[in-house]
Amino acid sequence: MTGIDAIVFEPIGSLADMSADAAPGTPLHAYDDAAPALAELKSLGVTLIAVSNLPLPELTRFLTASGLSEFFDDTRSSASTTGDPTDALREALAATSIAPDRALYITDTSDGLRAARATGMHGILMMNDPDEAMKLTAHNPAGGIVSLLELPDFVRFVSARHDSPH
Amino acid sequence: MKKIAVYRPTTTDEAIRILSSHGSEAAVYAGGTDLLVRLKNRLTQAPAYLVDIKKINDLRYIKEDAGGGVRIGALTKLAEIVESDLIAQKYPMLARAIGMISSPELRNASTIGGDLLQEVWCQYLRGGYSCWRNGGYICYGAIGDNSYYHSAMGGRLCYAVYPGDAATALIPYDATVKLATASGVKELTLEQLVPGDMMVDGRIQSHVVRSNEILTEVVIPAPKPESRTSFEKLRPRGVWDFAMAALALNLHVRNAVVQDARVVFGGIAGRPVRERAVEEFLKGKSVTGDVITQAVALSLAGAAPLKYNAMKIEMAKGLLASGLDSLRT
Repeated sequence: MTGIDAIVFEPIGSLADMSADAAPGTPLHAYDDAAPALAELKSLGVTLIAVSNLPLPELTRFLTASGLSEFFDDTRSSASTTGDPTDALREALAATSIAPDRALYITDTSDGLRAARATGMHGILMMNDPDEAMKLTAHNPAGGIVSLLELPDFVRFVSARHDSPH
Repeated sequence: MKKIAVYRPTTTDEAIRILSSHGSEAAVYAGGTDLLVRLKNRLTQAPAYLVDIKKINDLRYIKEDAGGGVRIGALTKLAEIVESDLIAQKYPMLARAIGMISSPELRNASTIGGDLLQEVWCQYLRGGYSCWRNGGYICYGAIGDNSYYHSAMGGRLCYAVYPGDAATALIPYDATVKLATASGVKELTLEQLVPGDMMVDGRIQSHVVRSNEILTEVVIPAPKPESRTSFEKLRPRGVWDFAMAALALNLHVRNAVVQDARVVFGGIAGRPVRERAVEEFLKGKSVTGDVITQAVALSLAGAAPLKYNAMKIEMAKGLLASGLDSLRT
């Protein structure tokens, strides 16, 4: 990684938890650290994008209700295109003119990591569940975070490591 | 082992010049008990250029200063500190803490500077995993076995525990260190020296020393005449092992009342944890059973254990209870 211009989130899992046994229509609640982390990322000049397999109205409703919509430069649903998250990621990067290798994709699934790799992005594991995360490291994520609050440090560190003279 | 070049400067200035020319590819080589292990483990982050400072003559001493304090050169062996009558007389808690580091053989080789600035001993880093400290962007300790080498007090990017007992024991004495830098001498408190995960010269490390700076001296102020100290450490075995939890106490007591206190935990976080809430609570009180109970309840409010290390917090609280009990007024 040489620098990070954009971060793409799959909101379910990386911005909000949805338990496997939740009833359909159960409202999503954003993690407590989502708003402060996104605000700090914006202050660093990072482009923020939400790409989800939720239908767009539902995604928009979640981001608005959580007070997160103001942070996002682009919001997209794979459900309204081909259904393949890879296509939605490519479209989002094209729409914001971001080079894939300058973007992180935050995900907590193996499909998400595969989609990131297919688009040339850096797939970053959201390590909500330690045991599940340990299994997912077999899919060679480019990195991992435990808390969204680590992302601003992540951005700074990539920049510092790249700028370091040696 | 990766191919390395070794320099042997004879002055601090010469060493700084060499370090400056190689940036973070170079590292200071003194006792070698940490650095050589990193090289043998073939870590990506291990240096390619070693600047062996053992030929610098004026960095190995223990001497009393005019104010009744003590100055320890950074190349002083841990064993020499443990065996020093001056240290035993003025800072018995420091002598005890350093006497509990690792094994006699390693204390004969390790230097005080190296102990303060040692790399973390996380099994994932030392095992060559591509983690934050080793060229990667993930902390395996946060999701894997974090029962021993990882923080129970939260983390930033890396969740490894800072392993140095000397820093934990020096903070209660209000010790400072001196760094030789290209622009002169820099002086820091021990807390400033090891604040936990820091980005320094494009690396994550526990301390703030830049790649072209050299820790030269530890300065300990004169001890207060009515101070009571203790150091305790819990570890899997009685020698060799790092702390699961450690506690250094220094209470300044007059007429059975605590005037000032230093309470510092080791082995539970990415840095020595100074427990200021307990320090403030103890001031103006006698150390009684009730006070100990309340102090323990108050301690480590910011604990954030990982999946397998909540017992570190229980151990630390237990050490606080037993440590204060041993210093009852």
